[in-house]
Amino acid sequence: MAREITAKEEALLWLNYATEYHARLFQKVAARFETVVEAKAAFAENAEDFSALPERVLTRLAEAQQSGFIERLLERMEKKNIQFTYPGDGRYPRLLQEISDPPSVLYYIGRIDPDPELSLAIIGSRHPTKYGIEVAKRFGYELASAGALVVSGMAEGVDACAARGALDAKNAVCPTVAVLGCGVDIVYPQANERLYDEIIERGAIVSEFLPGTRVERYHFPIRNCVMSALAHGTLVIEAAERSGTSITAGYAHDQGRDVFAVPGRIGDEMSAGPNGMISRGEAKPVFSPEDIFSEYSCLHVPAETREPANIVLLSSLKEEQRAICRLLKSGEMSFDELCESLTLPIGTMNASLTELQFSGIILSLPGRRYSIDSDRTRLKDI
Amino acid sequence: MLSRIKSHGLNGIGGFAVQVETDIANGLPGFEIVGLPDAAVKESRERVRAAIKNAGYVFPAARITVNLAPADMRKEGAVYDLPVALSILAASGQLGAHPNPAFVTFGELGLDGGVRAIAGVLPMVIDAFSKGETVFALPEGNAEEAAYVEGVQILPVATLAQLCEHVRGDAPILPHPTERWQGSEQRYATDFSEIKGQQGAKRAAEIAIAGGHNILLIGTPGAGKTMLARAIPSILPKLTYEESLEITKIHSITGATKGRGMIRERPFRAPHHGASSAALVGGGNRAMPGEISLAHYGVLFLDELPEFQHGVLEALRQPLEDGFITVSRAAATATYPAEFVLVAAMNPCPCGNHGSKIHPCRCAKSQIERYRGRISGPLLDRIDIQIEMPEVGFAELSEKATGEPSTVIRARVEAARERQRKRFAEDGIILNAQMNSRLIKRYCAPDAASEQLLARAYAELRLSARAYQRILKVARTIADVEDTEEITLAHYAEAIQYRSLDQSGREA
Repeated sequence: MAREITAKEEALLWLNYATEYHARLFQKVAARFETVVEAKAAFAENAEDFSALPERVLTRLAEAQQSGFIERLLERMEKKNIQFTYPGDGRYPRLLQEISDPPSVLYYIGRIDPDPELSLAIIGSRHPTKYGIEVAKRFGYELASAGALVVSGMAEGVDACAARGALDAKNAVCPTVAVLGCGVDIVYPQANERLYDEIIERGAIVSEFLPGTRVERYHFPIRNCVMSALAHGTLVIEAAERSGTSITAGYAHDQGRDVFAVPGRIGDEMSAGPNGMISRGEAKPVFSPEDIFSEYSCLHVPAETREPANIVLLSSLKEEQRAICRLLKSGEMSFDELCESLTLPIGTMNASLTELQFSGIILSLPGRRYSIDSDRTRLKDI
Repeated sequence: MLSRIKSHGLNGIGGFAVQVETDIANGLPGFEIVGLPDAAVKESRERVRAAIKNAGYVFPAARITVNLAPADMRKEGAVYDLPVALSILAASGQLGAHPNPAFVTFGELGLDGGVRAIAGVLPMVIDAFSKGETVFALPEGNAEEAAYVEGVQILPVATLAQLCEHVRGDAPILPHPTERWQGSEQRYATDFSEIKGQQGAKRAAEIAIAGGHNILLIGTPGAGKTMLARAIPSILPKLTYEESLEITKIHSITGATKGRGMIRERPFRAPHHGASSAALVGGGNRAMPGEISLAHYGVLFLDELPEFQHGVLEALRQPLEDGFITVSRAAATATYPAEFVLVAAMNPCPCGNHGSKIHPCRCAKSQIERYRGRISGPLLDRIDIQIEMPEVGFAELSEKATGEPSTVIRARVEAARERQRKRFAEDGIILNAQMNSRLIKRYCAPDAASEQLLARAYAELRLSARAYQRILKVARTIADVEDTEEITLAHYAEAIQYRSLDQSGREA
């Protein structure tokens, strides 16, 4: 299914290859020669006209000018199912086009919905607490279930959880898009390889970086800018006071988009980011996905809440197990804290925890902490 | 004239009889030692010459040849100073009518004729005793440790002159009184009651020591891993005489027992993570015992386990399984026992804060995996109990209530070990951790309900067949600690809690 490309597209790829992610430089060059096609022709005729450009760009222009270069580039992209789109193209996200210097070419794998009814970027820490993980999953799931597009950066932590939650919404057609800080053909972080595959299957991986580009630290702010631009609003879940998350929220502001934040427990390091934004008036507090829907009033689908499969009556449990569950209902606890609150023999404590764990009622967390497995179980007090 | 003095040599913890023969002949004055002596033995010529002179005797001005027989075994160290000096004096007729005394002797000489303590006395005495020797003339500083061997007569020697007078019959040396085994005496720095919180880890340590299970403590910095490990000597069961003798033999080789007598406590060895594999399992050109043998019948504590060199950790695998180590070097080969409980400690991740509420972890998942990957699966499989230690909050640090004192825990450990000894009376082992799969089948048969629970654990935690067997063994020990013969569902359930790394592996 080799795609026939027009002279314009060829010129676009040519200039994009040389200017890389510098969208403004791309625009400048194109504007100087009216169109990219003319720029390409001018370069072929007299490369001297371009001498004001940086060295690196010049060499890359010449490299891409060689006959067959663009064809080979396209061939390689096709092998990896990489597609591309550009401002003015029908498949280019409409929201992205609104910002002052949108990426000159957007590479993607999967399917893009260029004009979703509601699109929300979910961002946050790479090291969320259990609370952050739960909230990200829940918002991702409920937003996607209601037909919204969830935009994330596929980073560890909140990003991955939001994408995971969105993918869990089985009825959604195009639940999520992930924006990478490297070429779309590079899985970063490596740990999210499965997530990457699933996102491609149901949504899209997009990036303004040329395929094959490796991750660099300075790519992330650029990536974050695209993330916020792809969404009507940006939702912050758990972030430290000063972090990449606040930079992304800043971009959203600059682009005239909404910023929402889910409040966290005061005193937690990971709550400082969202709580600070709320108190400074930079973000609207959000307590449930409905708060976001009402903000846009475009989606009226009542979000179905996920009912855990497993409903357990407290009275059906053994006495010591019941006591453990009662304690854990008010939050996670470490083994030591449990031992102190309940005067059970250590052996009995260990045994009860194992049984509760394998009945899917509680979850064992790092640091020998335990919590109710609310994804799987709801406890009833009868 | 020719003389023969009996001495002894050491090879590993075994030994061989050595005859020190001296011939004095007419000719150019000279002094030669033959019979595969090493450098330290050759140097003894100078010590012997000076010692004889300063003891008031005459060093013969003749052609002296000393032979250490058998000539094909390598002789090491300053052990032979005393027999060589004695042999020369006997051959030159300065010891009267008895040039071939009945005792076995060894010791290092000072230039003034004084006798110094040496390493390896106990294993040599035990070996010579088993070969029919009963009287030993030894350096005074070694007399005590040797006097524990039942049935031997030990003559403590302070100076060369003293021994010569004894041989001539002028002033017999009084034998050192036979030492009585005074029972075990475990010293320790920390008592279990001093450790705040960490009930779960304390319990796990108790179970580990009771059943001889290796244990891995995982916890954030400050959770008390090292403190707990250092408290473990306080709950080690008392030593028996036989165990003490075996431990002293090994430590004697390194010279650690000079002037100390028997070792009456279970060893607790804590090598630093920079240790080489020769330091840990044994080596050097004399094939000396390493830390694992010095920890025989005791505890080997490896703090910061992932920081040890990979090869060093892998070298532990075979002795962990076999309970002994054969150290082979070009010059020597020796087999040492190495039955120890491995206590290891590590952080949950490179920054140490994974799972902490107070200090969030900054490590990427891949970093954590790499860090944990430094401990290979096969080694991890040999560690029966893996337990995470939660961080200790301020409330717990300041709490007054203390847990059980070590003496109470030790009583339970000893009772559990007694149970095991009785159970395995005919199986040739003494601890649950040593059970092979045949014995596991016989002594840890889960009932239907337990079987079901184990099947779930097997599937949910994706356990290996080996890990599954470890759970059965640990459950056996838990039942022993609780003083019941029957292993119940609760015991199996608790044992599953001690597979921490399997559980977090699933979560990651």
